[in-house]
Amino acid sequence: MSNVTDYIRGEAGSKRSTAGNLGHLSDEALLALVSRGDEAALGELYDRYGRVAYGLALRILRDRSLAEDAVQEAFLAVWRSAGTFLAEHGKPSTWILTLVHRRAVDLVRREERRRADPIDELAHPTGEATDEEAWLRAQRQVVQEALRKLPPDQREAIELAYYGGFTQSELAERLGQPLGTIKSRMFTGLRTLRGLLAEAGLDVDAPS
Amino acid sequence: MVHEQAAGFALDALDAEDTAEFERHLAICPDCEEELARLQVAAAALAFAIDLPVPRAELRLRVLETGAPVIPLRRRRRPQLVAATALAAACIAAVVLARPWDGGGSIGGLQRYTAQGAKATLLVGPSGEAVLSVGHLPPPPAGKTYEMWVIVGGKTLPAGLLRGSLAALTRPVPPGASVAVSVEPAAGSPQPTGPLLLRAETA
Repeated sequence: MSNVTDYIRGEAGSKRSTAGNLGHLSDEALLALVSRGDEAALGELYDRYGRVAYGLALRILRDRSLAEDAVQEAFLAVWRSAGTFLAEHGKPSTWILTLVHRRAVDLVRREERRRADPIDELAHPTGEATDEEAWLRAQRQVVQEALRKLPPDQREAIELAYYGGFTQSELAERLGQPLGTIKSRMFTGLRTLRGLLAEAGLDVDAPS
Repeated sequence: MVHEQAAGFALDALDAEDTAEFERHLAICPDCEEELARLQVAAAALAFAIDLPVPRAELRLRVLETGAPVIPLRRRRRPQLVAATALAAACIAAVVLARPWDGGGSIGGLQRYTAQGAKATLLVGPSGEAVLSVGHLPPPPAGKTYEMWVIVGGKTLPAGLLRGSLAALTRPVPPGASVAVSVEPAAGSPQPTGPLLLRAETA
């Protein structure tokens, strides 16, 4: 019956501390289980990254049902390709979010729903004071702070691309800049961001 | 500078042409591969900078439906005594179904991959010609069919419909490829739209 309990907990927006007996496993171990067809391990990965995956897709797509499609398709790719990915020794959380982003951007380009709003500063109350909330809030603070340290034109190029789904040539046109300038801004900006995040000790993996 | 494009690639911001160019470059430039891995971590971190509303509970159920039962097929090593040479692939598969084989391996130049409990058997001939037989497969839902796929080099290619319990694949199965089955609309699909019900890895 514990499976049923886990499902119900999951439906209630499970927190990883109560997510059954897989909670102690690393993301890599979960992915190894997923590659062998373990559905509970897929559920645990969803409990760890489903919320950020959905938030990202929703941000890009601005539509709940499209965002859900993007998340489902990304996890389908996780289910199918976990074994292949494991061999590449990357970070599972990065891989999952890369899949979600790509899927959401594909969809937004097809649907032509791109928007370019700035990042909300806590637009919605984020609910109860759970471990997950505290962890997400801390992550958010670190990344936002790093973004603020970027030169504004680099930050703009990165945000419009990542959250807005704009391509480099679309941005060149939109911002009235040569394509080469946009490319350099993205490159320099993302490299700097990477350095700032590392300095801040950010780990985008879920806490164990 | 093509190296710079690692950032655009990590942000999914390259145009189709640039994406293709960068992917070609990536295949021959280990430095860019490493750089890309680092930049992808930074890009993924951006997902944490935004408002993250809690998704509906239904989404978790949908994601878990993705994880439909997969029957892992394993290659058995024990040599088969039955010699089945020069038989049409369909006949061989029929033999497989008819005989309570408990082993697998090479049969007259054919490689056999079998699931535990023999719910599914994949026979692959020397030039990749293959037959899949599946037992205990419920009839597909109304208006749907089972479709077979060959997964090779990261590509999923249609390999014909599975009507009844056995069918010859319409494309060869090269060594290391996987064969999968999914539920699709009656006419079949060019890419799987339903969850993969079964996946056989070949060696």
